[in-house]
Amino acid sequence: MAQVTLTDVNKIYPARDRVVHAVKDLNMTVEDGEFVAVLGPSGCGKTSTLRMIVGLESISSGTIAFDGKPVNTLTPEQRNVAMAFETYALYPNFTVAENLGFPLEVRGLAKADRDREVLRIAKLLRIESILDQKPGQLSGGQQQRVSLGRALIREPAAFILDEVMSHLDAHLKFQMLFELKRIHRSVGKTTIYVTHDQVEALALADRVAVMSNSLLQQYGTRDELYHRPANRFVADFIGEPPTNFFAAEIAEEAGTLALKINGSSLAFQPDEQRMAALRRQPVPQAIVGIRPQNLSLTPVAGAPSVTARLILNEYLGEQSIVTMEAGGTSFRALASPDFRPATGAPVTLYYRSSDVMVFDPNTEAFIG
Amino acid sequence: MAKLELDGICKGYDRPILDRLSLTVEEGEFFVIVGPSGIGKTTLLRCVAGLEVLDAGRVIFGGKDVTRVPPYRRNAAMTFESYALYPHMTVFENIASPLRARKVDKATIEKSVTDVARLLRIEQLLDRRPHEVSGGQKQRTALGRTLVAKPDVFLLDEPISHLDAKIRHELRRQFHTLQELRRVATVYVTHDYAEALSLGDRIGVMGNGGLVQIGSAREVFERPNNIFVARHLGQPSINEVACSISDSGGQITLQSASGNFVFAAGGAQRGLLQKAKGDVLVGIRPQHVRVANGAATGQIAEAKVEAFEALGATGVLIAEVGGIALTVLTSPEDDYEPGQPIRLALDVDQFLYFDPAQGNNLQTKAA
Repeated sequence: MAQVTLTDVNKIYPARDRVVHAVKDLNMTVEDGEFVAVLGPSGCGKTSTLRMIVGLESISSGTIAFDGKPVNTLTPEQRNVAMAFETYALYPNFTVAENLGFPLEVRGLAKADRDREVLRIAKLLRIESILDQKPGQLSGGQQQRVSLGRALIREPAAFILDEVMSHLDAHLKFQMLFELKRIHRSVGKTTIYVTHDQVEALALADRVAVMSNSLLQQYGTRDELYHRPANRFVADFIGEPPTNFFAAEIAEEAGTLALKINGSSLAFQPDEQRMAALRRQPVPQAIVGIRPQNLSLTPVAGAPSVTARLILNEYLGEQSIVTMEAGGTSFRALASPDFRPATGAPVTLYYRSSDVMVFDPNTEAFIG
Repeated sequence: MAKLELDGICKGYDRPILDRLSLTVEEGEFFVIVGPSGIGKTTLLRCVAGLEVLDAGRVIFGGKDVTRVPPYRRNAAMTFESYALYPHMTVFENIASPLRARKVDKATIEKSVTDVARLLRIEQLLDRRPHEVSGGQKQRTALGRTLVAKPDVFLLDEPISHLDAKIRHELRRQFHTLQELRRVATVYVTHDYAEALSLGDRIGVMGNGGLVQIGSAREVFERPNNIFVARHLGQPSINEVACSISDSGGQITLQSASGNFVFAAGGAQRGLLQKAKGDVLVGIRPQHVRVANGAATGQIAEAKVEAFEALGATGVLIAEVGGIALTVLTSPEDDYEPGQPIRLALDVDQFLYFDPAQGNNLQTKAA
């Protein structure tokens, strides 16, 4: 078990004609026993970060420490970090039990002790019934569990998972998310999970580090990322369907502020706290962000609303996604699957003014 | 412009993949095939394109039998999951390639490519090569190449499943609005049920050997003809509980085969279950069971929390009811402790009933 600290970490790859700065001044701490996801689109620097923690990649500058002790010069073996990959990397000629027991055998553990450990891990992962089978006979989900089990059995200082679910199909993924959370809870080991999928990151992690363009954009809990995103990028990357954004003019009328959406008759009303922040803005413009989940078709007494024309109603079984258009701007909201309006019909959407997010039009930083 | 007909097509390797599959996709129809991976969805598309030789059956474009016509003369355009762009060509040249192969004149090519690129919002990328653009842009380039060819039949194989959520939603919308797609017969393959429900004028759910059900999004989701269909659409998966039916003077009670989960059938389904007698497989979607608050009316089951996880946008609760585990959806803001007693409100009118042997829906079978 370990606390993992990254201090001013940089990764620079010298290339022939230019220098690639893959990770810039990264500072973050993963607490002992914490489950942290590193999330970002491809090329954001998350894999380089992970490889530096494990020791597969040198650290260009800065320090990575486990429990306060720098590990920069230690080999991957000395760091005692277990890693599971997207590809399961199981030995095809070994049974599941042999695959699981292999790291212990290498360490010279006696057979009886190995067998006991293998059984303990197999029970934890609910794979006791397939211990005698070979990887070729297993489903993708089972192989993934064996691969996790082999990493777990080593009793590592930290547990690193790299895109381990990206090619499981949706049903299996859902099951595995549930299982992985349960396993983490019972093992209680420091876990760093790298993914490009925000659903996985939010589902699993205590805290999520969102990276983009080699920089850590925000490091926080699901609630913080969701309600107080550091900038437009985070607001856009977290949540599905994606957040609606509008370019808006800040207009003052009778002591209250309204955010008038450019090119349309729509206006959003921010709450008091945001109004105060908006009054401090040097320019009368802002970017408005509102999540599709926060636009409701059900009238809410006293709630502000916007009305727009429905252009698309996507029925998805458990819910529908409706797309509206007003003055050349389009945006989405979630609806009940029973909602069946005609395309082109005007639709009124209610929202809470506290769900109206505002961003600086130049820096795209969160204003409130 | 043409409709597409598949007449009893058979194709197998070491086992049959497509077994006497027949299907008509009308001119202008967007038909989506959804099913688990490895079930034969791509094989079906390849058969239509002519990339596979059929074991039996016929492929007909616009009334003309093309079964023995080679792929390049079929006028079907196919996009692949892997994009299959020419790496040494620019985006422009990639999109133009089918027209160049047909020796279309330069001015027409220029205009067609620019039009399609504008439509797909990649006009600023025309001079770049595939390795210089993002995954979503590569996908749009591949799509542009299919659109520009003006084929009779569009075949799209998982065109957006590997893309980020944001681009996926944008492209889904474009699929809805592209008139070019809405003028021909399109067959679209995906493993993602939400994508299928969103896009398909009709949806074919594929199982072993062929299409288990064909219908509108609401039909396949709300009235699945077989437990296989119900199982594949929806997430978390539908709960399946084997029950026995008992009839006491018109009151139909269902009791789980293992354990002791008991409930009364909804009014609409009473007659059906009266006739069914014996055993039945009950399908309960997670959203049709709610954690009841004090004021809840209707059928209530006493339960215990087995496990609860907040998974991002939803909370997933596994409840133990009379020895049966039921998956229930809740708000992620909720918090439950294992062992905690809860009450579940059962929306019994929404429950689905299947015969335990074949898995057929008793309601759709009766209808």
